[in-house]
Amino acid sequence: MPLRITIDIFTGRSNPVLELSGKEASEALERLRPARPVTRQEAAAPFEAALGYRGLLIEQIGTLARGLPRFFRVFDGRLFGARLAHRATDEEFEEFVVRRAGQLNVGKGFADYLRQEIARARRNYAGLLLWKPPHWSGKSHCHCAPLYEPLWWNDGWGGQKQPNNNCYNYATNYRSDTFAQPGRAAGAMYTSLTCASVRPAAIADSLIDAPTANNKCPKEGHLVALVIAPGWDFHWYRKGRNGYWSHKPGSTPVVNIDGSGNLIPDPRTANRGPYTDFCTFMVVMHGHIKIN
Amino acid sequence: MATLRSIERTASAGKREAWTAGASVFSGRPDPVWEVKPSLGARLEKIWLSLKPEKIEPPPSPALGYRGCFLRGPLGRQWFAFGGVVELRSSRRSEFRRDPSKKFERVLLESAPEGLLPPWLNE
Repeated sequence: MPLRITIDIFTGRSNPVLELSGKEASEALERLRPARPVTRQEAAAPFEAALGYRGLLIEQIGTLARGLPRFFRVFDGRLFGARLAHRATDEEFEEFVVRRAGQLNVGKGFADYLRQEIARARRNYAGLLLWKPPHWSGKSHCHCAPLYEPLWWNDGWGGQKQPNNNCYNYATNYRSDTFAQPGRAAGAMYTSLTCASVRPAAIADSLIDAPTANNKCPKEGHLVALVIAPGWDFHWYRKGRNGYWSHKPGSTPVVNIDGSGNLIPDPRTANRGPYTDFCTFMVVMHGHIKIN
Repeated sequence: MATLRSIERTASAGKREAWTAGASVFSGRPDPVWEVKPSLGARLEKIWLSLKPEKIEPPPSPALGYRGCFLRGPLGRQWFAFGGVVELRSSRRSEFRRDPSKKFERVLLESAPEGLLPPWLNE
């Protein structure tokens, strides 16, 4: 019953794979035998979208060991898979793998790096178990607003979406891959980096000015906000379905925090760095606008 | 006499040898990009070579405002500098070096044409 153990740690490179057979595989399976089920509090699966160490992916080749599915994940001494959410008999199984990291052709010092990464990921995971989701006020829900789905936009520097779509694309939820500029599609692009110039340019793209929106969701469409770094640049935010705001600073990834690392309940009070002028709220009617 | 092939070769060699720089600073407008003279490219490469390789990561950059600057050199090499850390990215790997005096970043930003970069870079 050979085992293929993929160390899920890299993002750009291929993950290292350790193959065990014979006595080593039997020993590993003995250590992985499910012990007690995890408690409800421990049952949160590891965060698979995280950067860095995310666990060991185990694949059993051939006959399956009793109580273990063909594929499962080991993280922090816990086993996660089909009908599997248990502690491993050996809760230090990951160290068993680290000791064999020398067999992998990954580079000098990988065992130390892996050990450090496992410790870091465990600390993060412990924090995740204690994390309580913020209370989304029922009153501020915006049913027509776009979903906050950063992974759709954040396809990396080498991708098509992230580098070619800016804050205006993201706020209007309109992918043009052209780093859209207010007014350009309508032949009425802004002429200066001021509120007085960018606002009418956006209106020319069929955004609806809503200066009195006061952070309230519209009945139709979704709310966006325009801010200006006077003389230099403009920036847009969009209000999400949960009532909080998110944004895409230039060609960098979509985020839902401000310059102080806080969630954004209101862009007027967020840390906006050099974008000191709050210009206006606007409404984007889905399907009505055209930007480029 | 220049043949079509030699012109193409010269053009592509020129392209390969070109040095460009830029700053990640804007959100709505495209980020500023400027050409760098080969002599300055060589000087920046020298600064890079004088820095010590370390297992470090760049400090987190703010969402809005100045987020770092880059230098693109021949053979697809690209340096990214922010907060006292310089990274060399090539098609195969990344390497980080600490630059406590931020010399690489400073020299690179100083090469930008006047008026191209916003004043908040110095804040």
